[in-house]
Amino acid sequence: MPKRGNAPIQGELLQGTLDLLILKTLALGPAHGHTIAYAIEHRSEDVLQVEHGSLYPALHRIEDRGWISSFWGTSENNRRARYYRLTPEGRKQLTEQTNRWDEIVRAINRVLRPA
Amino acid sequence: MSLKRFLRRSRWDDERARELEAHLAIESDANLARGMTPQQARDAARRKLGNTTLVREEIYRMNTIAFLEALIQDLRHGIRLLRLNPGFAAVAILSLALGVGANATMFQLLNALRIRTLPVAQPEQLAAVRIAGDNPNRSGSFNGRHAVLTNPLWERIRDRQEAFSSVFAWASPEFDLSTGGESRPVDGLWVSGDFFTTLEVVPMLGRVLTSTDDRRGCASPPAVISYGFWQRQFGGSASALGRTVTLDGESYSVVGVLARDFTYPRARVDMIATLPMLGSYLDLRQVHLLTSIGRLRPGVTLEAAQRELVSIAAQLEQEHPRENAGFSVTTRPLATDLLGDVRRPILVLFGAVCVVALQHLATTAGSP
Repeated sequence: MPKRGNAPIQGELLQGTLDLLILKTLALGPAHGHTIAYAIEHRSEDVLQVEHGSLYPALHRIEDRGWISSFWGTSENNRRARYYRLTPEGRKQLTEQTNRWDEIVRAINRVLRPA
Repeated sequence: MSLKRFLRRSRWDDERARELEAHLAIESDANLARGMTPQQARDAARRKLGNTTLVREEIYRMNTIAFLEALIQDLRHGIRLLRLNPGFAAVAILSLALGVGANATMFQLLNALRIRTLPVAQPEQLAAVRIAGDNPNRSGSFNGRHAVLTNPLWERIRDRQEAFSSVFAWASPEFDLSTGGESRPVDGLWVSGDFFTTLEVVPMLGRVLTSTDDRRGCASPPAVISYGFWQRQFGGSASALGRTVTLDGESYSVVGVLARDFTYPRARVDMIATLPMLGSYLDLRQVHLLTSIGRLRPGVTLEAAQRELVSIAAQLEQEHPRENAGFSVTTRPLATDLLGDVRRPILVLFGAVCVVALQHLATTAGSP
């Protein structure tokens, strides 16, 4: 199973937040799997490596929860590709999970760097 | 959602395979743009994506496990709710139980009526012989909504037919058991000689009526009694055999007792005697009183029997053109014949019970 990879920074933390990153990426507009992975890597300045093998199960899982929906479209290179877009529920989740993430980061920072 | 995916896992898998294929193509395009050869581009894309079969397997498993997990969650949730609210639980369980029970009852009824119909041997070989049409062009009395046969017609059909290995006829009178004074009605049957042999019914005690009893002018006409009558009238004693019963003022001697489960042609028949006791009444060409049943010969289809009966009817019309004008005879499976009038209401009832059961489900599902 290619889920637990050996990419630079891609431990449990990324696994748990991959959903959030996908939602955030899709907040900018519909995209297919390849674009999503590329966008995440690019915006994290290549610190975060999305293992493609774990991307699709994640997309599937999120779609199952109703946070994103999918459709077949044509890619920029004129190829058929499956596109994902954020649902209203997904948008709500994005806000909630972003807040939650901020909370966690603040909490961890308070532990790591006590004032 | 999850159930849909569970049921359509294979289709989903195809979808994913195409999606991953598209991903590889897009990644290869990107690699080509970076200056790789087509082969390199493709290989690099493959390496990056990893094992696509594993990815697909994982998604396939997600669809399966997600469904089972949801199922277990729903069950847990349901049990928790029921425990929180025992009153509701009791009502819900009771109403579901009633719904299921009602359905089961109706099914049993249908099953009994349609499939197992009769407490006789191979009821599926039995067929009713009737005058064709609901409103035949015949005068005289009728037994029920459907026209049945007169005795002269019955005797001719019996003597000429070959499709049935045996046929019998019966009429259902109400006998009067009294020897004077207040009348004591009892449900009875007049039957022709082959009634019991055709149905292959064996008596519990004594003997049944046979074709040798089927002649006029018997000195001491025989009668067969039901288990219930035997118990009520004779206290279940074996000495009942040979005793005399009075039916409509005539003396009959009891020759046999039927088994407890004998319920043909009606649930309650206490006294069975032979047709000839009807005497000259039988000769009346206007009196339609006989229901006729035959057991199909092995290998003879209902259609063949039907054809034969139609040709016999044509002969009878020729012989007695005035009496039998437009006359024809038809046959149909006994189960259909018996059920003809009640099958529809029963099916409607069954449908209603199903709807009620669905409502139970809906209300129970929607209530918490």
